[in-house]
Amino acid sequence: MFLRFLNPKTILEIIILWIVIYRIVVSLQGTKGAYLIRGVIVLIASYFIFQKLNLTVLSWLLTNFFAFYLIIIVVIFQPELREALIRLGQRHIFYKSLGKEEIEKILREIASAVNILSRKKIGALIAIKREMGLNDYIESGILINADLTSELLQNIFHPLAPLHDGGLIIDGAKIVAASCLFPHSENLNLEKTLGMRHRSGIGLSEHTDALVIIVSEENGHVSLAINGQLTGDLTTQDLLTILKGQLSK
Amino acid sequence: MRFFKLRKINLKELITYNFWLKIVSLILAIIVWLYVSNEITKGVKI
Repeated sequence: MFLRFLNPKTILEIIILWIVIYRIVVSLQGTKGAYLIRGVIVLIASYFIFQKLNLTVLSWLLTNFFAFYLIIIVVIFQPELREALIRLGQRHIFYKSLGKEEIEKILREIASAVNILSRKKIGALIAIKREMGLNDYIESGILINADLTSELLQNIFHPLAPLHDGGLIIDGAKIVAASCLFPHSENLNLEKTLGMRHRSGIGLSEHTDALVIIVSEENGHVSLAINGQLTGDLTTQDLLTILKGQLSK
Repeated sequence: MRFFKLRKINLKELITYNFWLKIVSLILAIIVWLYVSNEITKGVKI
């Protein structure tokens, strides 16, 4: 039986399966999907145990339940599956439409604004669009469509400004919209101390490939959310370096 | 910063990063392959 593994075609099939399963497991880490993987492992392990012990009734029940389980998975995890399929078709657009110098100029404006907002302890939530569209979130806010400048960013997030609540979306060299509603994170393992602004920032980065900068109004700390992962307590230089690295890929 | 540690990819990190997830995924991949392979063989015999 194990001689079949020595076949190069078999090894290739297993390696491809391994990569696909690993990518799925990693993308589900820290989300509700992690419990799904645990559930699948428990079901598979139970199936093999029942088969080994020749418990035919339990094996039959489990085999038939597994078919329902697959349907339940598709229904419950429909949003996650949709996002996974969307991510499959991603292409790099942002960096091709803008030159390196232009990207650096934009990042300098963002970093300058973030630095001032952080020092003044003014809360901010800034999403930088990459490949995936953010139209759903843009429509939830107020359209601005203005050239990106540090001063405008500071103005929008001023606590007395009408658009300071919610998130701001940057697309290329433009501030597209402000006061946008971002989805809350579904990560159950997030620190309980994180506020709604951080949860929204992480949420948007889970649902899209946007880079989300969060400035805490409590302590002025700057964080960056990428693909559902939050990197906290960044200096302006750290932020610039990471953003450059991400946008130059 | 943790973020930068994740970005540097070398051979050691390629193996050790998420090591147990990689092992579990490999076991799952082998199980899935064996199951499907057996099902296909059964179908051919019939």
